[in-house]
Amino acid sequence: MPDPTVSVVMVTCNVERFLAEAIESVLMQSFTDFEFIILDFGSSDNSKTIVLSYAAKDDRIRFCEIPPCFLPKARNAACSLARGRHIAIMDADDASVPERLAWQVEFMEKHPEVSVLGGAVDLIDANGRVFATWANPANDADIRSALRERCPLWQPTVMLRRESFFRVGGYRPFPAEDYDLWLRMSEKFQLANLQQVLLRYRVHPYQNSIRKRTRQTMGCLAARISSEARRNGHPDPLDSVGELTPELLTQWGMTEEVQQIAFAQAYLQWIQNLCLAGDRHGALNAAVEMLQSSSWEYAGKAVAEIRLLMAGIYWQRRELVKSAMAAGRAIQTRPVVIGRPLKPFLRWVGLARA
Amino acid sequence: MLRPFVSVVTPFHNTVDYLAQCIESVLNQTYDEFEYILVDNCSTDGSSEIAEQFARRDSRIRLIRHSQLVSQVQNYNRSLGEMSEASRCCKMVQADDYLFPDCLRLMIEVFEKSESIGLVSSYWLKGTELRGSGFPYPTTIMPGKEMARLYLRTGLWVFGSPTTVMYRSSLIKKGQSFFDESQLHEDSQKCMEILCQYDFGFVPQILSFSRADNESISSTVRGFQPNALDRYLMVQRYASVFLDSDEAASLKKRNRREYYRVLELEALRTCKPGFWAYHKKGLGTIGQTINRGYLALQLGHELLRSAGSPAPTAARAYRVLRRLVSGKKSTVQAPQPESESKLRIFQPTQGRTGLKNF
Repeated sequence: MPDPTVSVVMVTCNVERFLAEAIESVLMQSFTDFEFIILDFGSSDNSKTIVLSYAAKDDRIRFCEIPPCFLPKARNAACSLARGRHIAIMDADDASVPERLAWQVEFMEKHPEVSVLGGAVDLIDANGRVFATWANPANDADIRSALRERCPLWQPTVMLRRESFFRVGGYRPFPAEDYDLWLRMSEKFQLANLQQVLLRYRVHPYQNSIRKRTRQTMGCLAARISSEARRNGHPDPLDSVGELTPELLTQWGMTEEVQQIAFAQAYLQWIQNLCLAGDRHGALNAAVEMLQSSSWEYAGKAVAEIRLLMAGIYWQRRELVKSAMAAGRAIQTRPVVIGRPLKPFLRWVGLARA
Repeated sequence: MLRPFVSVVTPFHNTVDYLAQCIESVLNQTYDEFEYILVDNCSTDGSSEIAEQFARRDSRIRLIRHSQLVSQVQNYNRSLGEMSEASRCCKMVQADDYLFPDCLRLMIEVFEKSESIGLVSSYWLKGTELRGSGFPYPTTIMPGKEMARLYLRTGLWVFGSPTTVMYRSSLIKKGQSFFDESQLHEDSQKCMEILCQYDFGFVPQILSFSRADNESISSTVRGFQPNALDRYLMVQRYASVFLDSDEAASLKKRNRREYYRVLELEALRTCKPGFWAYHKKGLGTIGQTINRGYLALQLGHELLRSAGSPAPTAARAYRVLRRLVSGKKSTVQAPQPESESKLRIFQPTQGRTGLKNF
């Protein structure tokens, strides 16, 4: 069998709810010269049966199974099966648009200097309703400067050159494995983002938990530290550790304050997304859990923001007392928020940032 | 269809003469769900370029180059560390050996029969000789402990070299050395370790080819009676693991006699330099030294036996005498320096003959 042009790579673990939609969105691609690698790492639900039923119908699917392990390890395993020149990453709770591969392959063939190519996404809720569209910086320079602060590529939209992926050694076994990979790849290769929407990215409460958010944020901070170290010619601190802890980050020179603000920002963004996705109950639970988990003395801004969100949710649920209390505590945390209703006016006269 | 993913691994160092044949034999397998990891241990003879040509043509190949030269066993270990997480079975092919086309397919078939199988072997060709024969036909799966007992009792050797066998990948842990770098016969030792917990599978077909006449590892110890030492170490170490105490004790005793008899015969001949050092080192790995008293006893035995049969002894003495008179130079090959044989690095080979038939 000749090698396909693209290997679409997806890992699955207990994702039966949205799996069929994800698989169909790949099989329905207008570009057809691909293999579809699905690797299961320890599902105990129906995921495997679903995949096998599709594999029986379409021989482009290659299914593989490994014992339970961490996500980055599973992703590496799946990518190592790839035979195509390009690897397209896909997640089991999202859905690609039908032209995704066609657009990406066309771009990759036209721009041999680019090794990592992402795209824009539609954010959807559990029912598939689009509630936001999010594009990322398009060219290499903009992505590079954005990389210093955040992750400017949506992992499940990305197409990679297989050779470049292996050249940097694939994912490393830490949370936020994608961010770390883009940072390392950006040191050797060019990155780009298409401005078309390539994927419908699902935001739903079961994909995340507070604990997972914490790990994810630690991963981001660690990836940034390690990239900084490499840039300055120091040995990579991540090469010699097994698991990340807040203490370790402190040891690497990241103050508690910086860490706390980063955590709070990450929670805030997640809770806002949950609200937008219409999952108010989930957002409220997450907010309460987050506020209880720490004292957040440095992260007043994000905490006030979250309390205001909570006030809004209570208001909509007609729990007026709770709403007033939440708003009051928001003002207590950060008195400036009283001026919030004035913001559009200030923006209009040019005194506030958009 | 669920087809298990196999990692084929070839570590190499300066094997330009054989490498292409080895790689082709893997790419021509009748089973194609595999990755092929080629690991270059700082070759300087053009092997690396050959590997690269193949890597460019076939996407299953992953070529890894190292800038640090390490010993052969260390290179084996670091090569195994490159295996994909998705890999179910691991097939090593040493760079001067090769596989026959059905090797992966048939071995996988046996592997898939049971989750308890940790090791699969087959018949193999060593130069022009068939090896591995003696395994009860048509058995394909044997409990590991039973296989180990069979080996200990009868000396039936079916494990060959790393090229011969296939391992279950889950036995190869990331970040840990698979082969014990302090051992002399790390591969046979590993097989016995696996049999302690896993079952043994066998394919009654000739599936791999090992060279008999190149100057690789084993040839640096040729004439040192490595097999006798190997068997002695295995029996001393594993007899009491697999057999009940009475049988183990009697087997150990018998095996010790046999081993010392080999040593003693070698002592009577003009043995190669390095012979004693090699055996001392081997015994050192199980915390023993050469028992001079026992050796002397065996020597006495042999002398008595010789005295009991004067005619053959006289003939033998005559032969030895003639060899000594006609000059020593023809009897002794240039010895490998000790440090070299410790490193056990592949030497570039010249002047091989008689291989074209294969």
